[in-house]
Amino acid sequence: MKHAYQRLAAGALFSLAAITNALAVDGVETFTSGSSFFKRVVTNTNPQTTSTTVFQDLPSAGTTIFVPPQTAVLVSARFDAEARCSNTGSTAQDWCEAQILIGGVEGSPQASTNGPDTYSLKSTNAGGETTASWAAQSFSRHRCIRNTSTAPMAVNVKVQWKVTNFGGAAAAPDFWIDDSALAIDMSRDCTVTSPVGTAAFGAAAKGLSASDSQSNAR
Amino acid sequence: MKHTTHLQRLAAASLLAMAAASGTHAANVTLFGDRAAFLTAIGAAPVVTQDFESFADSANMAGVDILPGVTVSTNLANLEVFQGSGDKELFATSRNLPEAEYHINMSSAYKSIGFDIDAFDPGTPGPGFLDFYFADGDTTYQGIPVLPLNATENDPLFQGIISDTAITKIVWREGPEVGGINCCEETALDNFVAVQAVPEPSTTLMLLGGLGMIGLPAVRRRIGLMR
Repeated sequence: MKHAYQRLAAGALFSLAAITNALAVDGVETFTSGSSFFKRVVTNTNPQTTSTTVFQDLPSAGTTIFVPPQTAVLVSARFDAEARCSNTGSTAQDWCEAQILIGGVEGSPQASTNGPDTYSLKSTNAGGETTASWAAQSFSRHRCIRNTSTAPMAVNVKVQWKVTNFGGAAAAPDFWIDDSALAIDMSRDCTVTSPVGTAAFGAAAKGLSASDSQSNAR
Repeated sequence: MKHTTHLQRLAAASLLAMAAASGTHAANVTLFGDRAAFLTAIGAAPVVTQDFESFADSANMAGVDILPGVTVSTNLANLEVFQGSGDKELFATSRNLPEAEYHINMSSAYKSIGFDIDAFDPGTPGPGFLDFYFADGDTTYQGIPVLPLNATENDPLFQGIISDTAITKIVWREGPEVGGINCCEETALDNFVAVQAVPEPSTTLMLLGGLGMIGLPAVRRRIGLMR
């Protein structure tokens, strides 16, 4: 009898996990839009380093764009840079992370928000990477945003970076970025679909932050 | 020693005067796409307006104050009053360049201004772009895309702004024309409304303080002579 209860409980938990997984906000999503009408690119040739273990804004890799009134747009942001991630003397499996916030919310795929792991832009290769391990890196993030107001809506788009000191070594990895470009594109109309149904807008599904609905957001 | 003190006073006064002239804080801005909402937001503040009805058709408007301390210029050859199918508006001609822009130049310290963008072809693919320039150098509000929302001459697009920092210039860059090879979809500007430009009390006080410090040594010298 006890076995039966245990099986039932395990079954219920399994089903719950399956349902939760199926309804995950950030599983598989497909974004569709019309023609592009806006591009902005922010570039920077000044090298920068960090060893912060909490996300911080990457300097000179952010901007504010404006979603036209009464439109739904697909905001696509692509970041590329020369990068290295090293932790001399440590063989821990550390990595260096980046995320792109679109209107205060990580764009999809929300690897750093919902994923079981975080998003590694580059790893230390368990100590194999050196201060000479420069390489080009690139990633993109996407979000539907609807502006129902009659005024342009300010939406901040920015890159954040951090390191993960997985081994807990005294010295955190050194994350170095140079020659970066943040390219932002807006295109008209936007829908996002997922295998469990069609959300009218990814922004709504992900809880559009209050600042997005204010035209004075910086 | 006395000479050094005068120099120090002069430097301090200059710094105060410069601070008064430049301002130091970034613009805090609210944008409006609806005239009624804009007028509600500015409340009972005294306004100045311009609808171009008092000008003759085809009047040359280059260098003309459309509001006190406000002129409009264009990269095109002419800027004139145009009698449209409804009322008169401010219109730039002719569109034979790759880009067409209106520059609203403000030499007075306006912080709240709105105007209509009249469009003559509702089917434009757009967008046009708005750029707002501020006395503190803030560049956040530049490159604002304005998509055509079926605007016409008689159903224009209103654009308004309320800022805590003086606006020095607004640029309207027209969007592309349907099937257009040359520039651009024709637009005109009309029905300006702005809250009267008044110097900030703090700016005035700082300016007076700076001027007072500059004049103080002269007063002292005069008093010394009278003794």
